[in-house]
Amino acid sequence: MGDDASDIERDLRRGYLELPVLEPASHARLRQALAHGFGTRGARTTRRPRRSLPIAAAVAALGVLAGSAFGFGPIDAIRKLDPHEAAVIRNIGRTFDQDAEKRPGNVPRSPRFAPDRTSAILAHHQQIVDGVRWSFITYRNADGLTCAGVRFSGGQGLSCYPLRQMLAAHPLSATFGGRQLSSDYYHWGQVWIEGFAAPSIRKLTLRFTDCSTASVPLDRSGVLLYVVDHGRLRRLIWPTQLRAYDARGRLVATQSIHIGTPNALAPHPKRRTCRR
Amino acid sequence: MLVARARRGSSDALGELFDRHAPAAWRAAYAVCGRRALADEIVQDAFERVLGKLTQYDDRRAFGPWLHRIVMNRALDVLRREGRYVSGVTTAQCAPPDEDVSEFLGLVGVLDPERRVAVVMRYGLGYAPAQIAEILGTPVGTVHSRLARALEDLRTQTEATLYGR
Repeated sequence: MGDDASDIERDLRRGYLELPVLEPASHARLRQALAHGFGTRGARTTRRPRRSLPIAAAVAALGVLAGSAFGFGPIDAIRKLDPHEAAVIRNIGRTFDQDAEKRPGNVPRSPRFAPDRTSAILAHHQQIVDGVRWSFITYRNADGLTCAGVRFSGGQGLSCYPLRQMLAAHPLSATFGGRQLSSDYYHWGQVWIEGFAAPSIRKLTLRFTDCSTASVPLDRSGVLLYVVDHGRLRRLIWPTQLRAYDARGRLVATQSIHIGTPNALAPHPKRRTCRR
Repeated sequence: MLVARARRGSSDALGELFDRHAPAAWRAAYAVCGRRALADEIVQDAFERVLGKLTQYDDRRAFGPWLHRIVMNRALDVLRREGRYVSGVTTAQCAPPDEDVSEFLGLVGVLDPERRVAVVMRYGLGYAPAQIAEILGTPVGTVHSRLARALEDLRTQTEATLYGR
């Protein structure tokens, strides 16, 4: 155990040194922003115009340029998917569509998964969980549907929805998925909660079987993604309910999450009755 | 002394203080929050506070730890404001990092922000636990506990990653 800790400590020290440093351009910009403070005599509180405003404007402009698949407001923490990955998504969509065209006419058709030419493919909530990179991608197909799905190293899910109609009917439209690991068939490797919330929803929390809660990231486009890590799942702490709050902090919607065991022999968590 | 000159109103001294300390402060802020834009904001806010409190600064104390205290507290404020931090709950989503995810951010990204701060101060900035306690105004036992639990979390994470391969 001591050796493990030493290895981790060594990795931390080395990894920290490999982090980027303040780039010269940013250094100069920050120095410039503080320049009026540098010119003052003695001490005074210098509240400068918030730098976050131009950043927000730039990010919002980027969102407009990117052709967001839906437009609830300024895009925040959303990126255009890396061109190589975007090409993969376009290829997946085309392959699905070509397969669908080969099916007999009486077989129900799946949505068209290929992204519309004018739609950017956006990545939301990029994060690393259990050493694996996760994100939630969105784009618009040629029929104007919002196509979306979780993406992680080695996996991709896709569905297309008439999102506005769905959220008009209910402010939450979330689903979940699970992934197994090759050496642990008795617990989920990761479980993710993905989906969308209506513009009226300002905050989301996730309740677990042990009654603990966690904040669920929700971006300005109403996209949510929460990935439950393997450590928690091994302790049989499973998500049970997504809870949505409005701007006044009122609980306005909930969605239950009913996860099954990964196989018939796998243990199921004991459910506790949580205080409201 | 640089800080003394800055207190007397030397803009050159203030600029030099910024040049000397901003890169390390920025890296520490980036290590905690994982996003360049937030690190920029944290460092700018921290230096604004420094400028605002120079008259209260105790010359007998080192400038770096004082700045780092402000940076770390500001980083925690930003994470709370961003809604990614629920007290007492470890969430993997505390700070979705920038696209160029480094090994360090990949490791510490799963830690509770307060543990992340302790890790950055210990293994990044190189402070001893007693110094971290003094800088953050936290009992030294709490610092030891945060560091121990952080290492335990990281060990669990490493195991999980290995299982996934």
